Amino acid sequence: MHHTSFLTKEDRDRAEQFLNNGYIIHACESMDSLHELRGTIMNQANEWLAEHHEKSRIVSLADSHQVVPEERINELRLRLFTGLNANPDTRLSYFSLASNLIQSLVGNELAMQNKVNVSIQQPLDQSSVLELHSDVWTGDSPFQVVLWVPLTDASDTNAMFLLSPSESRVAYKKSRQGELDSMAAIHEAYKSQFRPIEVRYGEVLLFDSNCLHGNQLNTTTTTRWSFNCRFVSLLAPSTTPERRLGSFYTPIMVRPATVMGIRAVEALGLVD
Amino acid sequence: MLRGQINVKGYATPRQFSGFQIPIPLQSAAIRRYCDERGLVFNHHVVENVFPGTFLVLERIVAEAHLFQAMAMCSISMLPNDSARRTNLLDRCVNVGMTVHFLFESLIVSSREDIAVVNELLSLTGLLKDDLNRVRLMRDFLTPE
Repeated sequence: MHHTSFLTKEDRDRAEQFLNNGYIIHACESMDSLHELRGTIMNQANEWLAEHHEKSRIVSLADSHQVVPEERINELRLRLFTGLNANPDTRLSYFSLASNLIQSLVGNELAMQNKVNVSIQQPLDQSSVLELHSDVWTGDSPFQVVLWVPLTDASDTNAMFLLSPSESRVAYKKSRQGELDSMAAIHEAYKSQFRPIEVRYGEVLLFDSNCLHGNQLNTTTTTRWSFNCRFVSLLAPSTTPERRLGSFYTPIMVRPATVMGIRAVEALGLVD
Repeated sequence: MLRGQINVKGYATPRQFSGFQIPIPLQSAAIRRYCDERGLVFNHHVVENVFPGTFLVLERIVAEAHLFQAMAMCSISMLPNDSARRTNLLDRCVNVGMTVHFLFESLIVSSREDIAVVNELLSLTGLLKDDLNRVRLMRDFLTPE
């Protein structure tokens, strides 16, 4: 395509990897921010433990299952989610973990999901299994990427898996044709292809929201903690009313030309 | 009303907004829950008129803004499309100290800076509303013949 000649070789290589595999793993661009986010999460989790009269404290997130009761893990997760998103600096810190990578793959005018999500997957905890799904199939923008950042090393069954873009499109086509008539059937058809994506603390994973992905029962001996948040080009189309600017995303990078254009369009009365 | 309590007037609409058509009871329930979660005092909602382009009921709330500390509605897209009219309305709220809460966007307007945020969001969503046609144009342009 003619426009790729405007990209650097590094950008072209990255684009090819991302478009073929549906994801890319990269070194975190701000370890200070990552350490700070991890420290904040650990402190808030320990505050929660203290409030609930638990005697033990989390020393290492990977071993948190030794002190956090399984039946209360979702309560803790919601508390951490609320605390994290109450801090107005969280989204900026999170963006700094991969800002150049995101701009390289998405663009330099961006919108970001309103909240940063927290995921905790303890060993043998069935309640934290995320079944096979695609964010886009459930209404997110097809132009969206997900920045997934582990706070503990993720591998084997405590990592997520992802089907490639081409396989995901084939699965969709088969479901439209009636060959696969439920998400369970799709899961069954593709489970032999599930490969965990190994991402270590200090790395970030950026993946294509159109790809089918999920996680499996964690049969390792460590808990996986991770964040995820979604990014989209500011001017990308949305396909549902719910997943759009305001209700789901907020602009984070608006260039002067766009501001200039909005002002002109309004002044000229070109939109209702 | 007890001293220090924030009295919130609920505002609902029978008209479609932003592609949604949400039954009035559900809009009211969402506002009530929003208030309960934040320790705000929910006041029974009022409902806008159904005929398009009018905001007679919303204007009455704003005219009586001195009676409430806040107003809450589901979305910024329920506000007038015309940015000058919308800004004027929100300005009047801010001037008398009535905050305006928007549930879907998790926004609270209490200053002129907040009004600017609302206007920017609505300008962008207004520009992007012909989304699928733009996708077709992009696809046709980028697909090799």
